[in-house]
Amino acid sequence: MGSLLIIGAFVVGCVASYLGWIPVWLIGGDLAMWVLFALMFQVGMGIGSDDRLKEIFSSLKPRILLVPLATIVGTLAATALVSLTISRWNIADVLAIGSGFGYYSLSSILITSLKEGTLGQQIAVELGTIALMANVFREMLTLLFAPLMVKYFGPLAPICAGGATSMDVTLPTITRFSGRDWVFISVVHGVIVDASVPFLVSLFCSL
Amino acid sequence: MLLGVLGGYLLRRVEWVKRLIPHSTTLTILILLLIMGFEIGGNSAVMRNMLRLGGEAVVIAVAATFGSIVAARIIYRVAFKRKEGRNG
Repeated sequence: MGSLLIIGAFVVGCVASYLGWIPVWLIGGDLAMWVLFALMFQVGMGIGSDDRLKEIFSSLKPRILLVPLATIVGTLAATALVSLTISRWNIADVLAIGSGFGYYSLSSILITSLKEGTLGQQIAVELGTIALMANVFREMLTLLFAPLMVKYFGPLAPICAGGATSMDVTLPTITRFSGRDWVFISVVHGVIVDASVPFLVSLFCSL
Repeated sequence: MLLGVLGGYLLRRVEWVKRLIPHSTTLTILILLLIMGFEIGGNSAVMRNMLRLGGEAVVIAVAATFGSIVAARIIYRVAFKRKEGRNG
């Protein structure tokens, strides 16, 4: 439901602007920047006030940390490889997109804003658009192929594939196909990967 | 964002703040994606390139997902298989 609303807002924005309903001063101005600051502040508030993080860190067995680590390393290694086939973008750009880990709203916005300075608005918007779509696709791939992933790659596969969404959007699917035993790991994994998104995306955007 | 982390930590006992944050975050994301829609929709070059951008997105998404599940399988075999579910 939440993700439908978010995609809806995006599509409405696209169509309205395409039809020329949006005044120019709204586009590409400082407005997006200030709303982004507000968003980052709230994301920070969310992380800081999250009791689960503290709980997780106090009750954590190191083995569980391997799961978000696998997601991050696996994603970055594969996206680095595939960036060689996409000549238009360099490795850091593609890694920034990969570091969205399915958190498409935040990652696409961050990439567009952070890259505007170095790439120019046109190219930054293109990169942000790819980030949005790539991370939506990642979520969809996880939802669609969870049963196959479990069958051939084990119960952790849809958790890692879900990335940051393994604690919310893809959790019901993961529970169903991996089994109830993996719910705790899935939520811990989602919280950690989710928290890593703003850091990794900013890191790769600055390279 | 670090300011937010600090603020959130200090205010973590204030119930209404904690209840409000997820909703206000979603609302802000909604507004930002609307603005991003404005930027993309108003950008005729991006609209023309949509197919190519979509293709690149598919390639990256498949690679990212595949990389993760391969890593997931390795971790599962190395660290989880025999102790399955014990950490439930």
